[in-house]
Amino acid sequence: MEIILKNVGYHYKNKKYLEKINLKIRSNVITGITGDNKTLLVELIDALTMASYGEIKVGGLQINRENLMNVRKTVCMIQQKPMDQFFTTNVKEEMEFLIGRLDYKNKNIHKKMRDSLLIVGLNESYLEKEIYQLSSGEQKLIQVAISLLYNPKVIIFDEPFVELDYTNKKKMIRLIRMLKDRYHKTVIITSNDSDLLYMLTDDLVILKGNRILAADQTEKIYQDIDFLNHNHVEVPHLALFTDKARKKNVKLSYHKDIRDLIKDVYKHV
Amino acid sequence: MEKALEINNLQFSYPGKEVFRGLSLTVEEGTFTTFIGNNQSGKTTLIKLICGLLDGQKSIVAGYAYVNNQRIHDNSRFFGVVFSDVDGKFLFDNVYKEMAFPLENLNIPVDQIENKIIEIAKEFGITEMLDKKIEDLTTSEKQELLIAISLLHDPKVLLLDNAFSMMNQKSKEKILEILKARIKKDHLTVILTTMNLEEILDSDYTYVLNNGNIVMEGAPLKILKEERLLNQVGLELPFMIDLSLKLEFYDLITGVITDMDRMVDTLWK
Repeated sequence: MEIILKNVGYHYKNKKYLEKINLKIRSNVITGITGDNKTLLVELIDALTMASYGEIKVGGLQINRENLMNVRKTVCMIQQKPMDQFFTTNVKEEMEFLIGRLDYKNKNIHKKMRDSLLIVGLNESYLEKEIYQLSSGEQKLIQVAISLLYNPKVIIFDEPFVELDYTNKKKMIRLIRMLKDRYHKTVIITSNDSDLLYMLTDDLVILKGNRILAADQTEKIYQDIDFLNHNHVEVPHLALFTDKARKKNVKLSYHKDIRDLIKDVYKHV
Repeated sequence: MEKALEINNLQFSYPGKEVFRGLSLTVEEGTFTTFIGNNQSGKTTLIKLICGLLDGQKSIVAGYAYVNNQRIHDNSRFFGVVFSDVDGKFLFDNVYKEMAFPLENLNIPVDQIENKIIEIAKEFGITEMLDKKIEDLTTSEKQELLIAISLLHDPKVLLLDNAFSMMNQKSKEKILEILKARIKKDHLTVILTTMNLEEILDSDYTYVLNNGNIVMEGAPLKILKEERLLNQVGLELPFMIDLSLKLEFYDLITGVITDMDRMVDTLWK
């Protein structure tokens, strides 16, 4: 579902956090958002914070206070600190609470609960678990499972990789890719990890100060190293290495996997 | 070589959570030992047990005395300790006063205190920092200062708990050089815990901790080559180490190169 921001801004107590944001987020791709006030920008899309001026549209749906319930069904946000988002202490109770709240009618609700847990890679036993006893990686997976119950078109991950160790990070990456490829979701990720953004996202938005510095396909942005260095934006290691080699007249190509890079280096030494 | 530290069958639990079930190891005098592990692996608990902030029940022998928390004042000259968090670690608003305080506590005459502080400040290259206010320092400078203070009383063993976590690359290299010089000259023993695998390269011996157990130990280069095991315990190889090891496998370079410019220069002269 395409998201369009037209001349959007956010002011608070005379401070301009976001100014004149014009942005188009493509449907069914993974878009990364990095830089200053990135969480604020996604909060505007999810209507957790209301924009001071401008117009935001998700598909045909206008984001405003009157539409709040429809917005919640269309856009789902997985917050950075998962514990902030739960109302109850038990996974099953939490799911039932949400179903009741969204007035959701489905006879096979238990099957649906099990299925959504399976999609995120957790088994049925998690239904009976207490949320606060789970690790933060698992809590994030539970959040995704809960959101899948009402099938939102847009899923936003706010800093999904912080606090995750290697194994959980890999799991989360696999899940995000699957949401896009198999379930055709529009996925938005905020992160400051340029290596991960380079590997995972199709499109990228870089915010600087209260404006957009760059918004384009991820490869195009991350391969313009001089522009990024000039603006003090972190450059992914893989792209930086290729750039340094190219400046020595070695014709390396840009790669997203270290193994491909090494094969390429091997050819050119 | 003398033993600086001996741990015999260390058992420790927090209420409701067991951390160590019989950990044993020895650290020799004048060496640089590192402990790596993810969150929850028991690194900080181990450091607290070694310096006597938590009671190790006579299973830890440092120098010639048992370490336990009743006898902490006997051990306080023996150890220097720095933790990763810099907030709430300072008592005064001024750098000089902060550095003088631990020496005043040791009943050292005023003129000697001044000499000692100037000596250390020269060694660390922070002479111009002495009359600054603590609040004006960056986090990286605060971590540097804490390490300098911990060495003021010439401890036999320096314990660093993830103490480079917020330090910039340049300062980190500077401090490592200073520590290496002290290890050589004064037979200082350094114990560092970290999650960043780049930091173990300079050490003599490395332990990999997972859930309070040592899962692997040995020379750092030997450990870095066990990528799969490191991934299993939730640790990720940093880009430059990953690249170095894979290029070394193809005989393109020798050893680990952590500086990208140097790597490019080595490959293409």
